[in-house]
Amino acid sequence: MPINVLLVDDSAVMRRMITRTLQLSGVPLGAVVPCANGAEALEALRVSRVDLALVDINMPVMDGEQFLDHVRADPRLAPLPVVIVSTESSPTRVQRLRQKGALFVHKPFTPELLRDTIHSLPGLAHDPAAPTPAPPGGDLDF
Amino acid sequence: MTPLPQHPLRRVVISTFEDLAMLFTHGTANDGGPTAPVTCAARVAFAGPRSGFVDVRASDDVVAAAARNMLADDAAGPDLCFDAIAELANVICGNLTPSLGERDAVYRLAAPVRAPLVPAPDADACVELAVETGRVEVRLVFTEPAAVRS
Repeated sequence: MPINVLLVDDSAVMRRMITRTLQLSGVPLGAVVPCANGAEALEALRVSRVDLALVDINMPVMDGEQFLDHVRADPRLAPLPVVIVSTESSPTRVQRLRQKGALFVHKPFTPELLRDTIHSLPGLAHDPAAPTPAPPGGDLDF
Repeated sequence: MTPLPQHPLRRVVISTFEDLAMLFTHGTANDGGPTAPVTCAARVAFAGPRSGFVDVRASDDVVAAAARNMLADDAAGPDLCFDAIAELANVICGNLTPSLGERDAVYRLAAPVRAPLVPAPDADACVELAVETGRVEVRLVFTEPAAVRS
């Protein structure tokens, strides 16, 4: 079943790179809802049904951790799986994000890491019967 | 110039260009390598136990190659080309901050902005590398007090 993804990053380049990574890495991708910050993403969640949010941390207006706090505080949104995709390197902050129920992917990342992280989420596990196309060019790091 | 951050900066710059933009460095721009003029520059400010900014300055062909590789698009416009260099600056800055001391410290990174094409004076560390047929300069500058506005 296709996964609808909320993609929150203030970099248009990174949004395109992540989208391309998802397309190449065998994730059954449905709609991608791009947003440039956490506030835009909360607004998008009012009108879009998504199965997963991929969220940067350092963004203007509302950062990724503030967005995560809003999501977890809203009973309607709280179950949304959130994967933080960031350069954040502080173990304390990464641990704090994990305690808030987010998974973490460090930039730069490989397509395989992003794919495996998404497939590790409950309800988004990979269907082994589905074909998994290999990314052209082999092991690409993003 | 403080020698301490020199090696972490160099390592982070090389790995970021390789991993994110699939561009490989070969020596320094001072080794008789390319001397193409810088045409694009991005700055990412950071604030935490130490504050400052990282400038990434690149020549035309590096900018074009980075955008092409990062976007899989041969015809990226000027805005996306800048965005590619800006994202490289963002990832370099984010991966550099643990090397600045207090590994567990939380740093806030500002959104990338355009930087002056003229290099920042008094850099605390500087890396100049030949990349493909062009060149890249990355400068780390500490500023006190904090450079990132809340």
